[in-house]
Amino acid sequence: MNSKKKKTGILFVITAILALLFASPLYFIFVNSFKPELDPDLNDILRNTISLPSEWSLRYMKEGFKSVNFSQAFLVSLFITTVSVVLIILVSAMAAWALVRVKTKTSTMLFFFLISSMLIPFQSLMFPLVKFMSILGLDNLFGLIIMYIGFGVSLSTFLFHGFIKNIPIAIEEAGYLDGCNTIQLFVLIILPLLKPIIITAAVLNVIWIWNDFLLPFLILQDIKTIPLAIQSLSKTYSIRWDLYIPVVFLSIIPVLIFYFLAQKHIIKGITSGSNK
Amino acid sequence: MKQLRRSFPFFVAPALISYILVVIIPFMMGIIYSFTDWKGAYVAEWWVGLKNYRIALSGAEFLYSLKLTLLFTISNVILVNILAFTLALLVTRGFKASNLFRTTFFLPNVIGGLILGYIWKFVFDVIFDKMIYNLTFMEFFRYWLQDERKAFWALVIVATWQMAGYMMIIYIAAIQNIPEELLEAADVDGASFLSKLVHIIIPLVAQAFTITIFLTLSNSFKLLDPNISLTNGGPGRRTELLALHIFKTGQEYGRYGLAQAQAIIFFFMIAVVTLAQVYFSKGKEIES
Amino acid sequence: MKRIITTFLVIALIIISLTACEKKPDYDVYIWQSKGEMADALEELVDNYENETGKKVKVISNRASEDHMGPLRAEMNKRDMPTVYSIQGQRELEEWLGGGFVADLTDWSFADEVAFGKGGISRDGKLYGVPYNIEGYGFIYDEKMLTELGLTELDIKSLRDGSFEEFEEFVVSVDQWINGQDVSGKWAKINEAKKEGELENVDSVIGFPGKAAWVYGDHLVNIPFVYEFGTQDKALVAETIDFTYANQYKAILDLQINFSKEGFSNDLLQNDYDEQAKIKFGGGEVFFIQQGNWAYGEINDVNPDKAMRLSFIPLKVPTTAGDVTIPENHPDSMPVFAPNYWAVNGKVSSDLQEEAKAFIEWMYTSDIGKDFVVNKFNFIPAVKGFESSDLSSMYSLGLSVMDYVEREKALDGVFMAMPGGWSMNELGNVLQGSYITSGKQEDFEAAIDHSIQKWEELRK
Repeated sequence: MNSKKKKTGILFVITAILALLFASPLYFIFVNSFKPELDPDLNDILRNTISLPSEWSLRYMKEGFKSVNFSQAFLVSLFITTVSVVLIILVSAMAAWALVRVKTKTSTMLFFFLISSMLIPFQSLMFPLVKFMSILGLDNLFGLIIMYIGFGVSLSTFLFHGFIKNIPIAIEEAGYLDGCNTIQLFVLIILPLLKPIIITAAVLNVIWIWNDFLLPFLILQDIKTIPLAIQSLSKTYSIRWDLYIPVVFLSIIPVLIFYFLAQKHIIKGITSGSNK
Repeated sequence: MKQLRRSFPFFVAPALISYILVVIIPFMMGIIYSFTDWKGAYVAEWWVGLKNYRIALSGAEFLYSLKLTLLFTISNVILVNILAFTLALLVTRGFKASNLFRTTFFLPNVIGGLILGYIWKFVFDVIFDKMIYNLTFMEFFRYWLQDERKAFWALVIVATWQMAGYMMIIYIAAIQNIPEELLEAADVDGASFLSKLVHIIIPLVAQAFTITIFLTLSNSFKLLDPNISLTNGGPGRRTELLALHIFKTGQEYGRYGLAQAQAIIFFFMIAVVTLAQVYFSKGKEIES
Repeated sequence: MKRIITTFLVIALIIISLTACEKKPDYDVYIWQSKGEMADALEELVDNYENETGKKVKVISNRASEDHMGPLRAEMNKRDMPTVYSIQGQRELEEWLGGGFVADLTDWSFADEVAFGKGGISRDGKLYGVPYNIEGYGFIYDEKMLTELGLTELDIKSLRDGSFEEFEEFVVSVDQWINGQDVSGKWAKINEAKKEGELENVDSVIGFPGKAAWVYGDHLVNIPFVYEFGTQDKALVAETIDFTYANQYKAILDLQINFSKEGFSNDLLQNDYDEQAKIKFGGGEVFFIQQGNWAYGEINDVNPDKAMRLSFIPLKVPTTAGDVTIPENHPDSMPVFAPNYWAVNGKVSSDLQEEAKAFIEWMYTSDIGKDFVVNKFNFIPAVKGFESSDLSSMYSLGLSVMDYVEREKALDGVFMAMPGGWSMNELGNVLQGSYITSGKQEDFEAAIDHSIQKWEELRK
């Protein structure tokens, strides 16, 4: 008994050390976001990099916040992510439901067609995509959302498809008997049943779109998402660590909050999505 | 389901249309452009035959980036999966703080690739290079992002940090699916941990390996954001992975036709590797 | 099946109607320019123009200080493309010409006012752009530092106009003085100088930014190629290069690195442009830095007093190095070039083109415009019509550049006609990855060979 306890204890310590190592970069970012007066050699950051601030100052956070217009970047990211995710889910659920319930060769073909995009790397179409969207007049915020839908339907349709297969068709048939048309059936009966998988899909899409860099970089001109704001900061201030770090920290905060709230669902999403 | 049949197009159309507009058409365009001298804002010559492909396949930079990306991918696949599997084993021991640990290990994955690179840039440029070096004066800690070879491993570290947690989750699910009785029976038989690992755990987790190896493979091969933020290909162009190389060939050098050819080659490589890997693992799964 | 076809047809119709709609743009001028530093000031100027003329002007400035061609090409793909945009040198001109994006400005009356470089950027006798401004680079120095060292005005002039070897001799002497050694020979008088005042923080002669590959890639490489090509036109058509004066290039590169604090080492890579301009030079740690008039801003941020005393000594190369000789060496001249030209989009309607030209002319001829050009954009104007009253608040380095131009000691900026990305990526970055830290001859030669080969490839 004792040796087993000891073994568990050692393993516990190892795990704890690994966890600390894993979290250490974040600790450094956190701690260095609040350091006060920094002279040109950034002494406080450099000399006392790992210690807690001598005093907790919000000065550089405020400066950093202003220098990248963080509030605007945040709203832009928020808008793009929310709208895109909502639409992706709606569109994918609709498609998945129809593809599952209407069992024809066409629908099977269409299904595989839709999920084949996971093979195509973004690189091979990013430049023509920009060109094509310009032709359509969609090289703006609105078009960006459509692009996210186009890229996002594959995975989400796949997720919904698997889930819907497990919904007994009897429920729908009952609905029809009660006099529902298809739209009512979809909105009032199917969607609520899909709640678990909707959350999963939402979470996965949010993580991807919120953090996406290249697509907004190619499309957006005068407004910026958070990743774009950070990237522009690293160009204009050739490594002004004192502004850089608080801004990086600010960017992670929404992500962290989201993570802690949605953790359970994220993990469920990965495990179910991995059952290909 | 007659009613659904009638409204079938309506339900499927939005997804299908956006997919065709955003993925299929640009991809087709990309293939066409790869046979032209496309300058981005206009096409200088509408047909140059296989010239772009020839330049791509013989170009020193492209081949270098390719080689680098292959090395990078292999390193990642090995490191990420060993680390992830180990973490999964540790986290399923039943410690009281297991949930906290799991949360911590997965956290990097939720932070975007670009920001990840910036965080580690700080770690390597300031913490390693200035702080730790000034304390220990060990050469080991200097110039992680300026020295060609160290920069490569810096990139591997960042990618591993990002992906390990995700793979760990998959492994955890697989491990938790192993019937308790099997393990208990092995304990009763007096089996050591190592033999339990080799004879029970790994075979039953085999299906998860398919998925994790596939994911690490394709993610590493396509890696871009951390590449941009951590090194931007530097020093010089020595840490320019394939995705970044293709991007720069177009954006910075203005040779968009060439970039397209490179991208199509890139596509083929990924498609072949992916399909092959799935094919072989499906085969193995059916066996077990 | 019918449903599917109908739906697709409807969508197709919507798409076609989106593309076919000929909407008139809701602006009279659309400027897309690449100098991020002047973004805010330009917007202010545009407001003034709108108030004065009632026209609507749309302005987008590329704020990311990186290559502007990518975003600009994307803009040119749009229906409402920029009517005025920036072109940086012959290479970009060639790209835009190929697609018909540049309007022919040869008969424009304003173009006659351009005082520098034959009126602007041209090809085959046709004018295609007018310069934003002119820029120059060389060794920046603080006059007071040199006088405190014991130099007279004549001394400084002799360094300015003298040969590479004479300058090198001076650098060696100063280095000796810094290290507390006795200086003998021509500069023995600096022995008397004390390490106080402006010389208090001095730790080395030259500040070198190892991290900023563009400084020794793009800019320094101009010198040997000015002697190989002479003008941008020749550089543009050259399919191969000999890099004839590689030895000369090495001489001036080595001089800077050898007499920097870090020397050939990994430490050298830590210095970026900010470090070089602000800390090394602004902080008084070095005597010279290779930079351009634009560095005035950085130096002024750190030490406004010093910033007022700046001037240029030209970057020089030895007439003979190895066994290669430059037929006509100009050690007293510095490269002056127009980094950016205003071009008018040839693909927009003639009305929009006229509006575009009107704005550009207004910018350089109206009182408000001129005030902005000199004081807010911090330009050295390339256009006639700027009286001394307009230039009264021109900053030190700007005046220095104009001085060289007036004395006709200006060299062409041939690096602007080099293949895209070549000087930075195939020379600067390669040197950065090897020679800058090692100092080995074979690394240098490998980098030169690589760059020669790459030039040929890029020109295919």
